[in-house]
Amino acid sequence: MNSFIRALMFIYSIVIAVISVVLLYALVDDGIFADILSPLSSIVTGPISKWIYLGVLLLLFITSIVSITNIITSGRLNRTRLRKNDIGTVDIGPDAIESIALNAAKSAQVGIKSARCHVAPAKNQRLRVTISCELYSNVEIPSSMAKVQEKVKKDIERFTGIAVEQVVVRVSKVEQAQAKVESR
Amino acid sequence: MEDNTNIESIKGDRSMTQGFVAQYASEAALQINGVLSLVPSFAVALKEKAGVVHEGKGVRVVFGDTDEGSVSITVYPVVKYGMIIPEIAWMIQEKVKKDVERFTGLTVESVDVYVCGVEEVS
Repeated sequence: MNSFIRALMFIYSIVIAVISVVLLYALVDDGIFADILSPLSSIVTGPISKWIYLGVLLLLFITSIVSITNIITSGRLNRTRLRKNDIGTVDIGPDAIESIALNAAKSAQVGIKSARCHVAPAKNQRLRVTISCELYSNVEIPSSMAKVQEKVKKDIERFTGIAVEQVVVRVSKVEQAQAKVESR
Repeated sequence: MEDNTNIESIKGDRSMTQGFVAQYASEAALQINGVLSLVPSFAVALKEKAGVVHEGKGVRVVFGDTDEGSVSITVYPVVKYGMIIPEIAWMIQEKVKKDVERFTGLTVESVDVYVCGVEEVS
């Protein structure tokens, strides 16, 4: 699922959730249908149709909540299972991989001021790492970011044993150089 | 501790609580060079905030329901940056299994390791 469709589904399910909450409120107070949707108010006040209405709306609400949580969590790497031996399993959490990537980026000595990292799964048991960072002003971006990519890829592969498919580096901001005048 | 294990012997029965086993497991895991700390689960962290002492945090112990005296352990460590994670995890598994089996006499069915984080030591 690419990010555009995910955002669309996110908005859509939020809208459905809001609508179902509003329509559920109509069960309590049927006055709000009086001027907009008059045929609905007869359904709400009917003895049997009231429960059907409640059931359908609850179903809608629950499915929209489930899809919202699913959309939010689906982009993120869940966990990586390294190997199962006779004693048990070894898992590495996403936080561990992210902090390895951040430490590697910082220790590359290319003037990264702060960085954020996102790890997503790619095809056949590989990782895709996205680093968005903020730089100091005196950095040659192409050459030094190539160094960062290489270092991050090498470090993750060495420390965890998981193959890295690609490392995406996004420079979000460069710090402004300011002439410093100090007065005594 | 509601979940105890009972081993019936001739002289009577003895029981061990979860926290007792977890204490041995967490001490064994912390002895490994490269393991900085263990991450307690959310409920345990809340309990610690409330001031209740919880033995062996960062380790989850589940007693086997079919076999008496078998136990499976999950460890949640934080590893030092620069160490190779699979090797440390295998060392943790072996050490925890060996220590728990020696000190408690239970059979350890499995030791799972879930590496929660990596920290740099300055």
